[in-house]
This record gives sequence, C-alpha cells and structure tokens, in this order.
Amino acid sequence: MSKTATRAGATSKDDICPVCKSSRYLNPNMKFLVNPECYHKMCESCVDRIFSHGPAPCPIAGCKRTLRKARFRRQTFEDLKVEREVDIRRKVAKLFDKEQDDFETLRDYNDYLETVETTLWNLILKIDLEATNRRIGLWQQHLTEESNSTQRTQVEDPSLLTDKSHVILKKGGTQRKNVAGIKQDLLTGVGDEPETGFVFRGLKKRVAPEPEKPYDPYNGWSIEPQYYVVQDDYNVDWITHPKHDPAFTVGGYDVRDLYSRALCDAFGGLGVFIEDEKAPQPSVGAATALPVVDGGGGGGQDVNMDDIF
Amino acid sequence: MVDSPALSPRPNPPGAGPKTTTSKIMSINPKAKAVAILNTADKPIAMSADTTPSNGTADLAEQMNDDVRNQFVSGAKLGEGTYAIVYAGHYRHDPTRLVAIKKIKLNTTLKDGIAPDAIREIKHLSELSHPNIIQLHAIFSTKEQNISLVLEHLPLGDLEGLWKNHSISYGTPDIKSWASMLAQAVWFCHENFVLHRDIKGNNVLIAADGTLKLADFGLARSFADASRKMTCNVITRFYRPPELLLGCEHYGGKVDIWSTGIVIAELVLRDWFLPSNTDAEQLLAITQVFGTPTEETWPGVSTLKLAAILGASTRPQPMDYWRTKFSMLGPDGIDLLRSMLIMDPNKRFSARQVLEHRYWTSAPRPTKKEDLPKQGGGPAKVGEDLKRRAGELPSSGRGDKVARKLDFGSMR
Amino acid sequence: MKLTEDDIYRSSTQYRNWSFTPAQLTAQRLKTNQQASERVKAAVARQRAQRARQSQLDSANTSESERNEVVCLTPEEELKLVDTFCDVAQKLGDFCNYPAEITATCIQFVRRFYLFNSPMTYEGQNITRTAMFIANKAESHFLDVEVFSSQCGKNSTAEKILAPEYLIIQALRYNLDVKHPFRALKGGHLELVELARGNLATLPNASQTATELQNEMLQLPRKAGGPAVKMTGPELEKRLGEAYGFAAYILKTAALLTDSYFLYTPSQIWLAAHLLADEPVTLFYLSTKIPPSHPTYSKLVTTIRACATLISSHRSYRSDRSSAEEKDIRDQQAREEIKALVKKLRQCRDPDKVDLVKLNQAQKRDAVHEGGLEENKAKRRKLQREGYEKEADGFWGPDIAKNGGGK
Repeated sequence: MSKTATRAGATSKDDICPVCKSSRYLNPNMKFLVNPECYHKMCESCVDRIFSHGPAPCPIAGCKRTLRKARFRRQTFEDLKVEREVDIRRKVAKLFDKEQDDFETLRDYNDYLETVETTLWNLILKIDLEATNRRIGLWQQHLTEESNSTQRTQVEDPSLLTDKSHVILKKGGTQRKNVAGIKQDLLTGVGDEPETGFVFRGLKKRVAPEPEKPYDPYNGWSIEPQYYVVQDDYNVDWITHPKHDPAFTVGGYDVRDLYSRALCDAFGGLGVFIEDEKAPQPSVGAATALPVVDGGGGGGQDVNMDDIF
Repeated sequence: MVDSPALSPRPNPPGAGPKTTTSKIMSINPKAKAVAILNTADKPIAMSADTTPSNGTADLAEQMNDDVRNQFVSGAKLGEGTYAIVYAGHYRHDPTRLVAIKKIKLNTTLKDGIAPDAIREIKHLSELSHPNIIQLHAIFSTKEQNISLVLEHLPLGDLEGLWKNHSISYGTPDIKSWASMLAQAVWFCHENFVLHRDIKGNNVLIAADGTLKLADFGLARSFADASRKMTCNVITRFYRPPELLLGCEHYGGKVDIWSTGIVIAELVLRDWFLPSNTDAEQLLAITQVFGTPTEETWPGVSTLKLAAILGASTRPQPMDYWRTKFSMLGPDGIDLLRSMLIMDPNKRFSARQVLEHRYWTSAPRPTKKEDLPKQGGGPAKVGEDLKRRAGELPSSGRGDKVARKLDFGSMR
Repeated sequence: MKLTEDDIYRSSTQYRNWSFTPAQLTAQRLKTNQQASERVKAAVARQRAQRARQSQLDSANTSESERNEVVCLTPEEELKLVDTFCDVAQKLGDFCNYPAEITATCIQFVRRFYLFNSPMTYEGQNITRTAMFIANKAESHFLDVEVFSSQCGKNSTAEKILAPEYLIIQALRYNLDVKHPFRALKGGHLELVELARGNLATLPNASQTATELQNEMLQLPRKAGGPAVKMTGPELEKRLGEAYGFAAYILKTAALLTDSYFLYTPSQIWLAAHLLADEPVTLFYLSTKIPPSHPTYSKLVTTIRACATLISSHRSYRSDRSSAEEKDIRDQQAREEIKALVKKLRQCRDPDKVDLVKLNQAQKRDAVHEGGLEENKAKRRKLQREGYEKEADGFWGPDIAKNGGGK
C-alpha cells in the first residue's frame, strides 16, 4: 500500500537508523522511536544519547525543531505519513466531537463533517496553515469557555511536517486542496474570521441537564378533585351506617371510601359538556381505545404517547 | 334469488407457531371445564333458514367489530392457560407496535354463559389507564364467539420469574424501584375504586423498557358500595390477608395492600414468604410471624365468621427477625413493609399511605427503569431469538451493513 | 398527570364510546333502521323464493301476506318499542328484587344494544332477559342461569337466555361498565346535609364561610322565584330528604328510560333530577361549587335544565302538579300505541334471527369444528415445514455455527 518514495536502498524494513546509521544487523534489538514534532524516527539509543540531558534540536539535518525525550514513542503505523495523519486526526477529533444528534438536520451534520474534514486536510497538507491553526485555537478557546469544567490543557498545535508537503496522500488530493481552498473562502466570508474560529449551522440548542429532582413516588400522577373536598365524617345515618356496623369495620371496610366514591361520582363529569366535546366525530361509534400513557418508575419516556388529558 | 348459504365462519384464523408454555392465568377459582362438541341440535338442512346466518350485510355491531379486528395481525402462539390462549401480534399499519392477543376460549359446556373472569377483566381493564397497569388496546371477537383482548406486549416475564431466576442479581435500589411501580399501580386501582384481588408475583409483568405492569384482572371488582357482601374466597392463598381467611365479607382496599406486601417480601427473600397447603395452614403461617390477633390488637376479630380456626396464641416475631431477613430493605423499608402487613386491616396502610412513606425518598434512590436488571424473557423470547438470522443483533440502529465509523477521538 | 374528577370520567368507556350529541343519536338510529330494513326485505324475499320453488312441486298458493311488500318500522317506532323493552326490564328487576344498579344497568344495555341493532332483527323479550342476566354478571352478582330463567316466566329456558349473550356483549362493544347517578345523588345529599348544618368543608377558593352558607341556605325560597322563607335546621333537612326521595324516584324511572345517559354525564343527570325536585336548593348548591359569575356556571345550568326537560318529558314523570289520573291516561295511550307497533313488528321480523338458540348453537358448533380444523391445518403446516427443513439440512448440510466461519 505504501507509496512512499523510497530512499536509495532502504526498504520499509528500516534497517538503518538515519542518525547513527547503525543497522539492525549489528543490533538486533534496535527499536525505532518517532517524535510527533517532526516525525523523524531514530533508534532508541540515539534518543537516549541525544535527549537524555534535556531538550535538544532534532539531529536530522534540516530539521531545526527542538525535541524532548518524553515525546518520543513507538511508531504505530508503518508509514510515517499515516502516523502523522492519525495524530492530527486524533487531536482534531477531540475538539470536534459533535454527533448527528446534536444537529437539526442531516444536511447540517454533513456540512459539519465536511468542515471538519476540510480543516483536517488543511492541516495534513499544510494549506493555509496559519489561518487554520488560528481558527482552531479560537475554537478551542470557545470550547473551554463554554464548558464549566476546569480548563483544558492546551492542545498543542498539530505538528507540522515541513518537508514532504508536496506528497499526495490520497487520490484526488489535489482536487481536495482546491476544494478546501474554496471552502475556506466561503467559510471565512469576506476574509474576516468568525470569533470562535468556526461556525456550524443547525446546531441544536444544548440544554444543560437538570439537576435530578427528588424521587416522586407518584411519578407525577395525582388525582385531585376540584369541586369537592372529602371530609372525614358525614352524618346521614341511612347512608353512613356502615361506620357503626362492626360487620363492616372489622374487615377493613373504610367508610371514607364510600364518601370518596359517592362524591367522585357526584362530580365526575360535571364540567364535561358532551354536546361540545363529542361534536365533530368522523363516525358515530368509532371505537376509541384508551390513550397509551408513558412508562413510570424512573422518569423515562416510552415511544407511544397519546395524551387525551 | 340466492340459495341459503352453507355454514362458513369467516377466515383469518390466528397463525400457529412453535408451542411454548408461559401460563399467565392462575387462580384458585376452578376455571377449567372440558371442551366438548355440542351435538344436541340436528344438523341443519340447507333449506332451513333458521340456522343459517344472514348472507346480507353484517350487523352494524359486527362491522364495527371487524373494523377493530382488522387493526391487528396475530402471529405466533405464546402460551396457553386454562381459559385463554395468548398470541403475539402487532398493529397492521405499524408492525413495530407489538401486542399480545389473549383469546378467551370458547367454552361450549360452560353452564352460565361467558365466564365471570372474562367479564371482570373486560369491564375493569377498559376503564383503567395508567403506566403501571397493563393496557387493554381493544377487544374484538371472531365469528366463533371467541373474545380476544388485545393487550400490551410484555415480553420480559413476571416478578416471580425474576426472583426465581438466580442468574439475575438485584439490590436495594432495584427492589425499591419495583415496589414503587407496583404500589403506584395499586394506588391507581384504588383511586378508581377497583379492587384487584389477585395480586401476586406472576401477575406483575415486566415490559420491554423495564416498567412493571399489573395484569390479570379476572378477579377484580369495584368496592366501596355498602349494600352488598363480597366473597372472601379471593386472592391466591399465599397472598391472602387474614381478614379473608377468617371469613370476612365486607372489606376494602387493604386486602390488596396485604398482597402487595407479600409480593415485596418475596422479592427480597427470593423465596415464598408464607407458603402453605391449606387455608388453615396459611393462617398458621401468618400468626407465626405476626402473632395471633387479639381483641386488643384487632378489635372485633373474635366476631369474624371463622375466628374459631385461630389456634393457640403465638407471639409476633421480634424486630431482629425482620432486620436479618429483610436487611435489603433498610430500616425504612422494613417499617413500610410491616405497616403493609399489619393484621388489623383498619391499622394497615392504605395505598396512599404507602406512597407517602419516607422509604421512597430516603437513600438510596430507586433505580431508573432502564437500568433495572432484566431477564431474558423466557422460552418465548428465546424462540424469537432463534428465529433471527445468525449474526443479527437485537437492536441494530443503522444496521450491521454499514461500516463502522472509526472513532479517532477515543483511540489510545 | 394531574387528574380531576372530570378527567376520570373522560377516561371511562361511557364517555368515550357511549356519549353522543342528539344529532348523532338520531343519525345512528336512522342508519340502524335502514340497514335492518334492507336485511329484512332481502331475507323475506329469499325465503319466499325458496318456498316458491318448493311449492312448484305442490300447487299451494302463496298466502296473502307474502305477496305483499314488507312494511318495516320507522326509527321513531323502533324507539318506542325500545322504551317498552326497558319498561319490561324494569318490571323484571322489581319482580326479582334486584338492586337498583342492576336493573339500571340492564336498561342501559338494552338501549345501547338497540342503538346498533333493530327490534326487527332481534326480538326484544329475549334481548331484555339476557341483558338482565348480563347486567347481574357485570355487577358481580353471578346467577345460576336456571334459577334466573325460571324467574323470567314460563316461556324462557336457560338456552334462550344464553343464546344472545355473546351477541349483546358484542353489540355493547365489550363496554360493560355503566356509570349511574344513584351513588352520585347520595354523595350530593351528604354534602347538602353538611351544608345545611354549616359543617361543609369549603373549597379552597370559596368566598364564603360555612356558616354564611348555612344561613343563606336556611332562607332559600321553596320554589323558584318564590319569596324567601325562614326555615329551621330540622325543617331544612326534612326538605332535603324529600328532595332526595323525589330525585331518587326520577333517577330510577324517567332518567333511565330516556336518552339522558347518552347525552349527559351522571353528574349532570342527578343534578337535573334534583333540580326537578327542588330548584332553589340545587341552584344554590351549584353556586357554592362554581361562582355564578364564571361562564361555566351558566353553561352548566343550561345543560342541567335541558337534561331536566328531557327527563320530565317522559310519561312516567309525575310532578306534584299532574295527578295520578293524568298519568294513567298517558299510560293507557302508550299501551295502545305499543300494541299496534307489536302487531306491525310481527310482519317485519327478520326471519334469520328469530330462533337465536339454534343460531347460537350453529355458530358454536362451527367454531369448535373450525377450531379443530384449524388445529389440524396448523399441525400439517408445521410438519410440512419441519419436513422441508430436514430435507434442506440433508442437502446443504447443517448450518455453520456463527463463530465457525464466515457467513
């Protein structure tokens, strides 16, 4: 898969360290490390030798970047360009982590993805690097301001390869470059940059989750009469006789249930005017099922919710 | 000029599928009656107009019935009980909306017409609408005089199956959540003046999203009418309160509260709480835990019809019994449970009092229903699992055919 | 969900499926009547055709009536017949000493049944008796059908009672719960008595105290528009008791035997009855529940008055003004009308549905037979399917396990 231009003689088998030129043949355990600053790789011993005493410039000729030992790590991909690209993507993905659900329409989400990808390509191909980095910086600031949590650690500017910028990583990269250029213009409008670095249309308003309310054992249901108040006691003997009758009271028959029920019947439907409420009906006697209500128990919502109340 | 039509009931029988056994209907009243082919009348002659159904337009009522029936499509059989068969089904216009169709068996030798359970269930379920009570979507019938109830589809089994299933573990907040939903269901029934009278673990079903639903209103009736006596021969024995065992004929919502208390206790213990083999044994089991009722603890108990079967007096169990056995409830929970299981129904908590107790608002908070432990759903669910193609996941949103999006942000 | 008592009523099947405007009611009855007439005519024509064919062999001539066109009932006549059936139901209930609720439920079942069916199709006596039987069951009063049928008279048998049971329940669309105003009246009475004693718990936004209300009540005029009187506590309670009695009588008779259940809620019905019994008290009571300035109040009063008019127009309504003789005259007139109608009915009965017992048995036999057939079909299908699967396995080999390789 690799289309890397091969250096004379050297294969991707990395037999030779570019710095000390020692070969694997002589040192079978030679491990290569790479620094995301400039993506130059060198063997472990070189790293130890050069950087153990602190930051030092990269030993590869022509690369003047200051490297630190801690930033060296094993190479994940065979192709350094891929490694670099993955690193860039990783960093950018941290900043641009919106999901489809955050957008109103699919189109908006796709536009967002397009913008992000464009930005990425700019970084990878080093197009308008300065502008892009600045915008990313602004966006980052915007994000940190937005969240109430502790300050994010500064995301270092994606490392940039000074050389190999002419390398085409994917088919149609040139085209992409142009498109990217156009897009940039579109985004930046007449040349001025939005304050936050990026503007995405169609973002749904993010509602901060409410602090959890204390648990409601009724789960929001209540039955409150509006036309009457049930008293504890009524005294119309021929109606309320059960309260004196031990045959009733011993078994838990509660005469207050009787009052409650009688009054509920008495006023249930008082304010229901059938003439009005039943007026426009498609067909008399169309069977109406009970409306399906949402589930209880913890505050979740079912899919069906037909509310007649 | 049309000849009298031959007898031919309408088509569209429910489909037959792999048989599974999930009996949902169990009650102490004997419901089983043998089905025999009625052969008393002579076979009708084609000429006789008396026995043939009219060939013209169907009754308006029948038309409406057919309208309702055609809203649903029934599918595989899910289970069979003594008085009904349960089929899976869905709305015709929206196959994602599942229902369970309970077809009450035609009983040609039932002496007194349509069974009381059917009548009660139909009458009461139509009037109740609450998230924790099983929803009756519609009722229709087929030409064969079978009444079919279209109920909510509740695939995850019942509470009894849950505690019996030792591969599922649950803790204090889960119990609180389930108990809360059950209590709400009972409260709503009582607010609408309906007694359920058959609350037990396997009549409390679990929906796909974890909600608890009270089902099986075959023994329900309305209460708070002073005029009439009610039968004391209701509620499955393990869950029957002492006043019913002692023959009381005027009672109220408190009987359901006792049953609910027992159900919650079983959930905690993961075993039967007060098992017995006869009514007298049941009373014994109760008195061994709660002590024999006396005129002081329960005024009027000696006047009850069957008070004589109360044996020698026993003392109630000490608090330690409760603290050790029901430690998963916590002190508030134990207090609530004991209040729900007071022998004297007048002192026993009402549904409203149950919901007003501090147990619900004290720590820990009841788990959200999405997070409740769920069981697989029994053989029916397993059958459904098997019917799916290999490799198909239960709930794939975008389908497994789309390549997964690489998530760079979460790499490392 | 915050529910008020109105919301609870709105969730009942009585509201959802069995409440109509007057226009809808008439339209439905017309529709039922037309359909039934067509059925009858078609059935009679069919029968005649058969008999004609049969009689071609013997030279019998068709009888006079058969040559004539069948004259069907009009919707108004049907309604009168339905009222008669309700009367019969009431007498039956009184005879058997059933609680008021059961008789009332039965009457409502009959009225609901005949909203979607015609007396020409289903004969009233059968339906009424079975409706009573079902009403008993619906109110948790389970009877032995033999005992019941013996109470219904010599003409009835257990099969006759059971035969239309399924039919009726289907026509009722499986809504077996009827909400009556009897308990509501009791509840209202409880409150009124407390109001009279000055003890009523006042509503949160009430403007007057209980004692003020009591005083006002004691001065209510005896009749609408009459002069204010001064009553004592006991006198007021006696007055309320009488009002209750009269209202209860109305509810058990006139209210049931009219269309009030379809057009008004039980709450409005009991208030209408109470209005007829004692207007000033009722209006006063209402004003304590809803302030008279509120628009709902006037609307409510209009509705209740309309209901009262409907109820009092029934011939069984006997106010203080009309005498017993007048009532007898009205009853006599009604009886004559009914006789004529019954005679007419005999000519236009649907011959297919005369013998419900045989019909029922035939259906049941079909059902079991069909049920058996279905079982067999299902078994055969299943066996076939299994057979195919076995064959497929034999040919292609068993399914590869999920993890065993690509699929």
